[in-house]
Amino acid sequence: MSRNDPATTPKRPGPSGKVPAAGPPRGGTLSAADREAIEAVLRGDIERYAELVNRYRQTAWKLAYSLIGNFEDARELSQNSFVKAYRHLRRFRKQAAFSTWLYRIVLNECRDFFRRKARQPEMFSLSKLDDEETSVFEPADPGSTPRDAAENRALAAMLTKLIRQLPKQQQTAFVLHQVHGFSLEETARVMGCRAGTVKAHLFRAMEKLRLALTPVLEKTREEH
Amino acid sequence: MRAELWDSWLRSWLTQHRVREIPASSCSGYTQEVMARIRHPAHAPALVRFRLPEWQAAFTVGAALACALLVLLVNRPPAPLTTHIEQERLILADAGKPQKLNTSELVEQLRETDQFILAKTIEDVAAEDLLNELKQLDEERFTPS
Repeated sequence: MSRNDPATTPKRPGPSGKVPAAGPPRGGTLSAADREAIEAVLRGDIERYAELVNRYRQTAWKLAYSLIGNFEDARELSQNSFVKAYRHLRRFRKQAAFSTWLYRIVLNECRDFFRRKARQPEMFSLSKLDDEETSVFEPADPGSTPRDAAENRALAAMLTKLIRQLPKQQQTAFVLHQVHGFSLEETARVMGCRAGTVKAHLFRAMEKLRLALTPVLEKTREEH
Repeated sequence: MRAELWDSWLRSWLTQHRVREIPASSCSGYTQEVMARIRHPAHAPALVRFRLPEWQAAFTVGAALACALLVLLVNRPPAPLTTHIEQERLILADAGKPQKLNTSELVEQLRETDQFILAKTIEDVAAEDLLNELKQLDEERFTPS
C-alpha cells in the first residue's frame, strides 16, 4: 500500500474548514459499492469483506492512532473493529454509511483500551514512552532551519499532549472534526450524539487548547 | 490570542501538519490478518435477536405490574356488611346510645344484602341476567294487553 494512496488518505479540512472531496466514501448514506460488498458477505461470500477492509483500514487505523498515540496498539484495535463489524454485520441497518458504523466501533474499542489501561497501567509500560513523548502529527514541511524544525516538533508534541489531556468526549470531537476533517453531522453520527453537542464539545476543547497554547505561541512570536 | 485568530491559526497549522502516515512495513498483512480472523468459525456473523433496550424492558414490566395491581384493586369484592356490626355497635356505645340491637335479625338482613352485593361483584354476568329478567317482567306486567 502506498503511503499517500488517494483512495485511503483521510480527508482534512482546508483553511476554510471545508472538507475536500477526495478520499474514501464517508457520506451519510451507504455507498453502492459498500452495499454490494456487504450483501455478498451476508450471502456467504466472506472474501468480499476484504474490499471493505482495504477501503477503510487506513482511516480506521489513523483514527485509532490519533486517539491512543501508538501505531501497534492502533493497528490491533482497528483490526478488532473490523472483526467486530463483521460479526455484527447483520445488525448493520444499511441506513447510514458503513464507515460511520465502523468508526463508531473504533471509538468504542479505543474507549475500552483506555479503560483497560487505567486498570492495568503496568501492562502498557513499554508503550508509555511512545505515548507520552511523540507527536501524532508530522509537518508537511519540516521547517527551513533546524531551529524552525525543532520548534515545530515541540509544538506538535505539546498539542498532542494537550489533546490527550482533554476529556474523552472533547478529545474525540476534536480529533474527528479538526484533525480528520469529519463534518459536524458526521462527527455527531460517529459519536452517537447531536451536532449541537459536538459543537459544544469542540468549543470547550478549542478554548482549553487556546488558553494552554497562547503563552507558548506568544513567546515564540517574540523570539522571532 | 483572540479566539478568531486562534481558530484560523489552528486550522492553518493542522493543514500543514498531518497525522503521521502509517509505516508501510506495518501495513503488510493487515487485511490478510483480518480475513484470517473472520474465516475462523468462532467469528461467524452473529444472528440478530430481538431485544428491548433495558429501560424499555423495565418500563414494560413495571407498566404490566401496575395494570395487574389496578385490576385487582378495582375488582376486589367489598368486605361483607356483617363485619361492620361490631364497629357500629362500638360507635353507638361511644355516643352513649342504648345498645339494644337485635343483632341476630340485623346479621340475617345484612347477610342477604351481602349475598346480593357479592354475587353482583363476583358474577357480574349473572347479576346482569337477573336485572334483565326483572326488566322484562316489568315490561310484560305494564304492557297493555
